[in-house]
Amino acid sequence: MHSGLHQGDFCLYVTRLTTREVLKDTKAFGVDFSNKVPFWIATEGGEIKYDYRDLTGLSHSVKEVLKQNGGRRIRVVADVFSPLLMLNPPDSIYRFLTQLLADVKQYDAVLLATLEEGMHEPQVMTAMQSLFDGVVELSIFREGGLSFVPILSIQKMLGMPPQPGYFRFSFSQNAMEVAAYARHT
Amino acid sequence: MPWRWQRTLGTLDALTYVVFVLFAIVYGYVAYTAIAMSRVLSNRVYRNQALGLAIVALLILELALVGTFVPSNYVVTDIVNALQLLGIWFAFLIGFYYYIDASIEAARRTDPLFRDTLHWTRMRVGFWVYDIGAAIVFPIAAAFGSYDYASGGFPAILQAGVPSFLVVFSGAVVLPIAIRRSKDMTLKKQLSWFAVYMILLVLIFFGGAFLPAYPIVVELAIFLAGAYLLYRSATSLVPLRSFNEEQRRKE
Repeated sequence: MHSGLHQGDFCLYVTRLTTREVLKDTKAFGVDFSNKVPFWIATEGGEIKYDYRDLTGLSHSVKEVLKQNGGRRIRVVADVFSPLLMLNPPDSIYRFLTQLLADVKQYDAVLLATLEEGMHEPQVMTAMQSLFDGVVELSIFREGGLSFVPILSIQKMLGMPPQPGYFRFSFSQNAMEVAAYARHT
Repeated sequence: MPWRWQRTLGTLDALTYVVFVLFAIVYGYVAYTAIAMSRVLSNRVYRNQALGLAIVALLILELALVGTFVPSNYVVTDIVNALQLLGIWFAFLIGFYYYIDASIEAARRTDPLFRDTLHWTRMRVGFWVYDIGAAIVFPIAAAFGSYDYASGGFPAILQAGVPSFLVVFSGAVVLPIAIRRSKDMTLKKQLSWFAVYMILLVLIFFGGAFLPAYPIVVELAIFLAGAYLLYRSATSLVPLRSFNEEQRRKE
């Protein structure tokens, strides 16, 4: 999202947090949104208020925002799906997400959605993952008894052959750095 | 309690050293693990939780250090009193409060309804201001001999009563409500390890008042078992994977 903003893309951030909290969190990574900020749909402080009870309204708002910026390259980030899945039956969120993805594809936009591990049943995770063109898993691996390694693995990516490897990731210089991970033996 | 060791074991003999070294290794490892976790976690709130656990482990180690090497018949001067207040009393209160505060925030973020339990986001600011203010004012006052804590009265309430109440209130009232509202099973598991550790600590510190006297070795065993609980709490902050398990899963 940060690099998208600097490239002049239209960036939409749909969050269940307040904008202040997101900015504080991203600042901890060294990412500073103070110069260029995304368009927010947030619980507090955003251009449009996020209401977890109103799925139709959320869908409508996203569609409207995409329509207004149809001529630009669009990036959408959403962290609302885990709580929505806790509050609604998974099949209704599945339908909602299917429709949302159809809208996003119509404008040739990229949607990055996050799901929290440990909050959902495996079958729910699998069903949600099946909707997306790509699935990237971020996890922490234990190496030996003393060290922990943040690892990124690509579960699937449309148009790419399966990537069986592991990638080490870190955040620095306003960006996420990814490098092939060589396991110490 | 750790400070009983030296008195029970007598002089600073080899056994006392062995006990301290064992403590240092075990709690040092727990602190190291928590710090290592905090370095790889990308979420600020979970990082604070890991750091809080490291602080708790180091504080227990500090107690063991003081209990082992400070002679039981030390002279309490104003400066010693101030150092005790700052290095032990307020360090403990602020250390535990830091972890509890981070945990409440983590629980709030994993509550699907995003509820602000008992207006915690606003209350915590006041609590922090009081705790830090008290940790500055009281040691300075003690260093200049301005008042005698042991005599009790209103200053003692402000110094000991209020900060203790803030920690107990946040840890025993706000945190359980926030955890109940959270839907993150990983967080719940992590906090339950810590809760059992807290129960053990309460038993060790206050158990003497209502339990029959038990030998020092039992206390030591409880402390060491507690280190395992703290370690499990640190490694439960996020689901951890291992390459071996992953390999087996793929096969």
